[in-house]
Amino acid sequence: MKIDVELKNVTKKFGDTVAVDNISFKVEKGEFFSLLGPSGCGKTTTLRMIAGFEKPTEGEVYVGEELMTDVPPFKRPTNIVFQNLALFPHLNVYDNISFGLKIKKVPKDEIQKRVKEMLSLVRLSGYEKRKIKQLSGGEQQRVAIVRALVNEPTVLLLDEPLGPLDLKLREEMVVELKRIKREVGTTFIYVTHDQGEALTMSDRIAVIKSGRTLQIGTPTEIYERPKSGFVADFIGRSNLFEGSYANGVVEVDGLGRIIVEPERQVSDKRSVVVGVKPEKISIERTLKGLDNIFDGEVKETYYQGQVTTYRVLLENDSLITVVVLSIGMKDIFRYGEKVKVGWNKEDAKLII
Amino acid sequence: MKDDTTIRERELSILRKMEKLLYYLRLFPAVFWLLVFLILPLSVMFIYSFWTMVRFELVPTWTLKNYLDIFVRAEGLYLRLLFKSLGMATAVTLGAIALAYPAAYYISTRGGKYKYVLLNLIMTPYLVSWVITIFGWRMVIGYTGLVNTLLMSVGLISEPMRLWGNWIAVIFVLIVSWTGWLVLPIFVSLEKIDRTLLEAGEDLGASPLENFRKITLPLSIPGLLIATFFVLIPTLGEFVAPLLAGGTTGAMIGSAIEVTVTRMHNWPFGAAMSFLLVTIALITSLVLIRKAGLRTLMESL
Repeated sequence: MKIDVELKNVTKKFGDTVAVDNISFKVEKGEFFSLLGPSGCGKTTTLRMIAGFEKPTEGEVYVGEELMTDVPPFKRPTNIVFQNLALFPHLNVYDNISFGLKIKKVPKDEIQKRVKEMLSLVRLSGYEKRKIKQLSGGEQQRVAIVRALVNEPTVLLLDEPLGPLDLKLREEMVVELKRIKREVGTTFIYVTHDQGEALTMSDRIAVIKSGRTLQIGTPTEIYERPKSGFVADFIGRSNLFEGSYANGVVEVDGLGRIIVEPERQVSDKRSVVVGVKPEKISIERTLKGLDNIFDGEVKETYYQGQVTTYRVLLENDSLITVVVLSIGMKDIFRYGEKVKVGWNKEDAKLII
Repeated sequence: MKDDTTIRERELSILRKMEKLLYYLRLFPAVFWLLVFLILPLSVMFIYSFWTMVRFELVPTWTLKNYLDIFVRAEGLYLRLLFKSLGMATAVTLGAIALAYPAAYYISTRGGKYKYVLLNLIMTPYLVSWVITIFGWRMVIGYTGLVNTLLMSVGLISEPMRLWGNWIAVIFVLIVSWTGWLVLPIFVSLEKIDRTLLEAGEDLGASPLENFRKITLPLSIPGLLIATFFVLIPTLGEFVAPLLAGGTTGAMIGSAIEVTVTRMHNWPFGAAMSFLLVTIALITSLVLIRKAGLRTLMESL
């Protein structure tokens, strides 16, 4: 498999602050690779080092199997879609998209052909003469994407481009991005703090926290088998329980015993973290037939249409999140109601 | 019940009238100022321009002769002066912008935390009176000025050069005195450019020079138009610099107006020339402001 982007032990310091701390990863040709993490975790800095706007303090950056660490942005085969899009306000749609091609002195009829193709790719045919100000947020987004794509970069970098859009438009753009990706086949590196976007679009995700990669894997791997409490919490908003493991059972202080089904050998007396996804938990007044059942008190109820989310206080004073489908729900539990919550042993994942 | 509502309505209408009155009262100072100090003198000048001077007395003759005279009197001397002034004002504008742009660019891009200190430094020469500035330059490039003395003492020239007292000196003095002012509007327009646009340009393959040509320069055009407005209009009517530094070749239409009014006492002819100049200035400024946008103008002030 051809590797399009590789970071080898890359560290970036701004003064004394370490923004990126010894990150390494490889992105294969044609992959949709996401850098996922909370704001300020170093994911944008990582992207900017691939684009060439930041120089790593240590380590090496390869693009298309060539060492790029000291190459300025205008000589790199990368193109970036900025968070604020950075479309040129004084140029129309055509001149924005053709900006890069004109600089590379591509013949004029070739430019026209490619801009036309790109506009039809994002369903904006006939928009050539429009001014940037006349476009809606979603249209500007798509112009920004093809302004980068038209240069046929080895890798397309996207820096939270859907951030400023409203929810509905964002969901539309996620679908749109997936389609564009499928049609052009270029390698995408996508920076986001939204786990939903990352899970939906990516082939692989790197979860980043405080400048380090915590886990790299496919969406299913990261969602189903998180390697750390942070990943479990950040990706699935998992409910986490700390306790000590012995013989298929985790003893949690103040709560009791959680029966688990470890996927690998775990030594006894080890302290572990158990993660249970909110949607795997049942909530009823009386509950039977599950491996783990606990008493709880409803503290918050959010009816959200398709699903209803509860925050339930358990006996060890921890709040857990429970998500149930609104369809098939017999009744809604209100604040202060005593309930039973429960889950099966295969849904309790041993994280550490 | 019914009485109550009618009383209430009457109260409301009185209140509304008072509000309207208050609105006009607030506009009054500005309108008054404009009327007394701009519209009134301009109207007097406009009226004078149709009168005639007979034996040092103004006679209301209502004639267009003064305007025609601009084109024919003294074999078209005044018309030539007008064109010459336009040319000189254009040269001053271009020269001052050429000097101010790099300064503004440097302060905006490299100024860092000293940006506003540098801007204030550029403004300091304006603490000194305009006339004194001109005399200062005379000491530098005048007949017995610094440049000539120095060059002669080293032996590069045997007799002083005539750097002072001609049209080039006028243009030079005007350029150097305008440059500082122009840094401001250009600086403002450069500051407004989003830096990620330059990163986007760089990402799309533009070298720093191409970035400047294709992004920075076109986006700073509003600032350049305002700068043009700042210099071109006042320079067109300039008469101090030609008087002090111009000698015989440096005269401009402003000088002609000054001489006509104060020495030849021909107020109507002077008024006609002034009014033509005002009209030209008005049209130019309208075009410039329209292109640049009023907002850019106010922001640079």
